[in-house]
Amino acid sequence: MKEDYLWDKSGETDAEIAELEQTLGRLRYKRPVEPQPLPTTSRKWFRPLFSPAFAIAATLVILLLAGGLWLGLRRAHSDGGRDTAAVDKAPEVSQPAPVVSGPPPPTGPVKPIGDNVAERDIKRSINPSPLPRRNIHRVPNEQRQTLAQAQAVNNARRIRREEIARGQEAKAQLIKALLITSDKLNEVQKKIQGTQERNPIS
Amino acid sequence: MSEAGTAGELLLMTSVSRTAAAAQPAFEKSPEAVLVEAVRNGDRDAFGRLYDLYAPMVHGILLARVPFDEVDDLVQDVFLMAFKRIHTLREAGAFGGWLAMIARNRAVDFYRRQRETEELPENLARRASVDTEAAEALRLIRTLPDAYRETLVLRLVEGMTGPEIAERTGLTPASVRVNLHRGMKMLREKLGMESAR
Repeated sequence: MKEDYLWDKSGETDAEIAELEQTLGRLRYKRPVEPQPLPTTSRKWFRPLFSPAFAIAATLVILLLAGGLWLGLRRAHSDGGRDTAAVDKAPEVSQPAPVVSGPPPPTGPVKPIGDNVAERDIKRSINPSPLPRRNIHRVPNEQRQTLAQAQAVNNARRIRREEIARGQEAKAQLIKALLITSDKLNEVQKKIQGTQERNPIS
Repeated sequence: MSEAGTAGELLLMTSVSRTAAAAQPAFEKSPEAVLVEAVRNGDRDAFGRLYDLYAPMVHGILLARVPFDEVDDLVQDVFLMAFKRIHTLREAGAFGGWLAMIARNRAVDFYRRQRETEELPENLARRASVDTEAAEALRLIRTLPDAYRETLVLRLVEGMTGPEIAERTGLTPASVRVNLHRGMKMLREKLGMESAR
């Protein structure tokens, strides 16, 4: 059969195909006298550098380093050079204690505020304290100082708690971001593996 | 011997022969796979043997796509590329299909690079140094779809048979047969049209 001749050169020869073979055979491959020399190294050592697993590991390391650096910078920025431990041990008074330069406050029972309006106005002009007005007049100086110190300690502790909370929040966000990145990289690796299995060319 | 005994023996033989037939391919490697393994282990002569086996296929694939004058250099390029990347080939037995894909990609890359960097040579007309009749036949083959022209070049230029083409390129024999017949039919039509002019 002529079809067999086209397939495996068996059977009856097809004249047209034979003529084409003869004509086109002049273009057939001829081995060169000096083939190009092969390179000296096959670069086996280079292989792991471009493997998908290496790329994923490198990405994770870079992400971790960047996250650590970011957290450190953020913490340093929020501290602002303040030593929070020192605040706990020896709290400083952040708000100025009310100082009255006039006559010492009475040690006896405290007068009612609304009775002497002029005295109240004078004290207000002398001591512009942020504390509530009634405390200034009702609490003695020593107690006021103690109260201010306690408030300063409370403020420092509150700030520290807030910083810790912010840090934990940032840490949780970073971990979430790393998990998402890891998932994405796993997907990419699976796709790469699938592609390589379908097509043996890397 | 009773009929039941004979039937039992026959069944046993059949199952043994089936098991043996099934087990045989698992242990046997194709010669190409053995050569690929040898190259991976540093045997350069093995790569030379692979070159001799597959150079006509690579030549044919490139000839179906790029100008005749460029084919020899590109064949060298393809084998050099294959040598550098042979460790990335997962299945040693798939070397032929892998190499064919490298050759096809190199042909595409040839045109891409030429478009980006090179201008057309002034002596373009004189570079057609090949036989005019052969060049004309090749030009007609190149007007066919990719799959047909590649198979036809391997058959008519490189002189490979259908089963050889299937074995080297990794295509199924059925695909090669279809490509050959459809391609030849289209080529005959084109030849008829050309001769009618």
